[in-house]
Amino acid sequence: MRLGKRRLGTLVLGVLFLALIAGLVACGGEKSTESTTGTTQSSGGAGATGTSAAGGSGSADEPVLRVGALLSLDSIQGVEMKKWLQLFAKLYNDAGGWKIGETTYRVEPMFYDVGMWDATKSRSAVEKAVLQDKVKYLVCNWGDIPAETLSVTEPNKVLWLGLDFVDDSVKPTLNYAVRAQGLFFAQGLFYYICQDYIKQGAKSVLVVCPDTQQGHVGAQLVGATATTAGMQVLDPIFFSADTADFSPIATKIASQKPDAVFFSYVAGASLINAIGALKDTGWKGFILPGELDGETLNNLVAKVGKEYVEGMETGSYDPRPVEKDPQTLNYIDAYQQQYGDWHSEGCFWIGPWFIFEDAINATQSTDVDTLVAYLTSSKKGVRTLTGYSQLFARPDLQNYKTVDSAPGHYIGVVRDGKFEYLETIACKDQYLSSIKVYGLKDVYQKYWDEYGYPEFPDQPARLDFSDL
Amino acid sequence: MLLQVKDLWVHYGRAEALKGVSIDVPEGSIVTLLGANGAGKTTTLRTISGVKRATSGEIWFEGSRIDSLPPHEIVRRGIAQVPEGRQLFLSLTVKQNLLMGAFLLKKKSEFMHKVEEMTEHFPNLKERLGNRASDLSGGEQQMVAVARALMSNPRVLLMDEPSLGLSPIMVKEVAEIIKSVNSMGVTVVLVEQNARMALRLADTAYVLEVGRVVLSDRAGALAQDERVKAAYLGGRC
Amino acid sequence: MTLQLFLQILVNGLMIGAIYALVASGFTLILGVLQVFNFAQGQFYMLGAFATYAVASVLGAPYVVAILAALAAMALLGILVYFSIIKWTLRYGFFHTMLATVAFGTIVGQAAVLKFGYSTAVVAAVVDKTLALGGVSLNSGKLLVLAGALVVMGLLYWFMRTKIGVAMQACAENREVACLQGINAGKVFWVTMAVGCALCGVAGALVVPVLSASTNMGQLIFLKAIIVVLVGGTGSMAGALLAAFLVGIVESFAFQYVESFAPLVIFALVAILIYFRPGGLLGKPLPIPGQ
Repeated sequence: MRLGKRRLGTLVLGVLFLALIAGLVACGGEKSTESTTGTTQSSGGAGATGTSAAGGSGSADEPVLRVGALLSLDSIQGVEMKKWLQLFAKLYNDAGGWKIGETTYRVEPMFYDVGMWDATKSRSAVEKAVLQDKVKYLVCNWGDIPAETLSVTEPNKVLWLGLDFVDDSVKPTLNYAVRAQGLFFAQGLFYYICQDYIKQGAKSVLVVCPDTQQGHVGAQLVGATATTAGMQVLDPIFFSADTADFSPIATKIASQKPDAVFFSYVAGASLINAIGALKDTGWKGFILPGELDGETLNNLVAKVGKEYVEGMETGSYDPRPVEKDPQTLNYIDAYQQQYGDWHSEGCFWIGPWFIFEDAINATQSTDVDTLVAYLTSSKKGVRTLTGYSQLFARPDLQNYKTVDSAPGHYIGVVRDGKFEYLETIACKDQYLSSIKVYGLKDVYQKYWDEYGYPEFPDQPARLDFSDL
Repeated sequence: MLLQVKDLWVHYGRAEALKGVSIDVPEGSIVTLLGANGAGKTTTLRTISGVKRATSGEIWFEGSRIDSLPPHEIVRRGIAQVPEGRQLFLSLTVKQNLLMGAFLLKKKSEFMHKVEEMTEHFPNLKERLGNRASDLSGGEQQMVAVARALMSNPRVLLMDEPSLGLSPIMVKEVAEIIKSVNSMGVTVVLVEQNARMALRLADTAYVLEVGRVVLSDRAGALAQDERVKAAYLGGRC
Repeated sequence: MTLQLFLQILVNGLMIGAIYALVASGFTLILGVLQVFNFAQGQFYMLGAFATYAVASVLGAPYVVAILAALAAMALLGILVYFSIIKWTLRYGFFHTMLATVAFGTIVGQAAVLKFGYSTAVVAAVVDKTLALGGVSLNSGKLLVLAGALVVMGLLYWFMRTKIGVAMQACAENREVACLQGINAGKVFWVTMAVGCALCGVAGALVVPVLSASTNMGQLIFLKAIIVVLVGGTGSMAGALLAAFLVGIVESFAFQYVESFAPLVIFALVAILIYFRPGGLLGKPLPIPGQ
């Protein structure tokens, strides 16, 4: 009798877990858009490794252009980038394919889930892509470890067009890597905002960062930018990345009495809690949030009221209220038609796709060496969803090939609880302000003297070479 | 027969604790189980109370089988146990201990009435009701343990080694308590190492050795049995 | 340090301490009575916060109603978890139930991410005023959380003295003897799950106007709850309450001086405490697995 009960218990438990898992899969599979918080769309099974998801149906002998992407499908950016890549592929395939040279290709995006900064998963994903699926181009990435990825792509001559928070991917020893989404030449945003805040009377700034590698790098860069722009930079405050209650942090911030506070790499719930806690201390001043999407802003306003964040300036990734470029508007329409709603989280990070597209169309070739030759001697900006992005050389690393990008960025201001577009940061300003912030003028001057000054897209810019 | 144990087999894992124990408990009597450590006395009580399950065999109480009932149902039917070493809830007060004993009573007034009854029976407890059980002496604890078991108005009281660890004076007092409980009409099953005391109190006695009943008789007769004298009564007071 | 700063830090510590106290007392109750190491405990806190959000912000009900709704919902969920998962694994021992709760917690956490995504749920502050007392200004929202938590603790104190509450303590102390008193252990267990989970639900409900809800908030608080239980002593409710406020206050003051090393300070202090008092401040050492 005892045995019978044991078996029954195990059986019930088994059935229960199966039911739970089935429920979970069903829940994940449904394309729910009406979640109570009005949040992200769930992404299918959320972990499909190496699933191809091409739009049109092609016959077996039709040439296929496989574009791989290593993405963390645990993150909203990864999910959104996947959606964009699927959309771009569909647009080509629906139009009969991508004509390159004499051949028309069906575009097949290949996605590999890499977890979040998980070296093991990252490694096995890139090995599967390169060695097993024979993917020749890895375009866009999120959550992988680029150094790990590159150790597989380089010897196999795979073109890597990605994002990297450290300088692993722009070393002169690499041959097939282009950091198409860099943050090195991206100091323009902070520089602009510092200038604006100084104009409004801010004299000192305190940088607040999570205690991570990104956070420390960010604190250094933001600090350098603020110094360059003419602000007094107080000792940065680092907090443990798993902080939920920001009251102690806010109390400490307020006790330092800064005019402005920069939250670097603080987003979502953390940002809302941090600013909410800051308000509770009674501190008033200029706030610069590192990242702020529309939904976070709405929640923030609900939390602290619109007066507290009035005049706050920040970067924006949402092209909808800004862009007049017809091609970009087409993409925005297509996204909304395809997915039924709108998320801006992937717009900025999908930039490498456009650099890849431009390289193929300009060379009319799918040959990796030809593409690399084109990319590493780039002369002009490429239009992305968020303005121009342009590749530049890194003479400070003795890398004279154009392998690092100045990405497109908008700057906006919060007025009456809403995000208002202010201006687009010019490629020229991203490039020059970054060089100025890092104090690399001499190195770059030598490079320009030898190779000539770079040309920039036709955009209004605040800085010129004479301002360095 | 009020309580009947028929051919009870109990295992702890693979080890056999009881190998076919049968015991009859007539209504109103005091029945004692004697035996050395590990003979299976405590196991017998635990199995009757339902906290240990029998592998085979039957337990009958008032004409119905109770060996598959959960412990709280067995208490509800009228079998309460004073566990070995008293085992009061030391973090609770005396009154809360009694409340636990009266868990199955539905009404608060009933509980208060029972508490009064117990303090009449054990006058020492009256001032101790608000104390933590851990503050009580061994003898007082034993009283609380008995009182706690009596709170549920049991028809059978299973007592596991009530004299364990008590001073000789207290042992005498415990014997008096057992007598008076029995005189209230409660049938008692008494497990004891102190065979002399047990045989003096009991009507019938069973001697257990390694899980089997080896002797059973009226207590008076067993007290005269040479084997019992040699094994259990020799040299002890 | 000015008085203003000192009091602000103290209030921060007390507020988060009160939240730790509720979650940890729920956890220690379940650990003590059922001897189940409930890894999903933090998720009830997260779900409580989201339930409050749903009732208060989406349905527009008054905040008090939302708190009660979160409490009831989490109590029911706790009962459901008991009958569907805990009850069946309890007989196999400590590690089986622990693993089952790990599985349940993971499923809930991932399902929440799928449903709510990576964003946050924000409930507008109930009281958004700053109390000024003799030149010292304190945020009244935090004081409200503290007051609410103290009310819940009072209710818990009362509940633990009712018959079923005493039975819970009896079961925690000696399950077999409790059964011998006629206490229905199964009933005590599901009531304990209901109370333990409701405490977390209330904690989530109280905290959400001050801290926004996010899907990972459960995992974060769970670690803190374990620290609190270690410091306070397993199975000791009083210890958990005392330790929760201690940890909250130490954490708060430590941050002012050492910033992100504050967790290190906490862990170091816990290590020292456990070395000298393995049972924590007021409790017994952890129950031996398999008991």
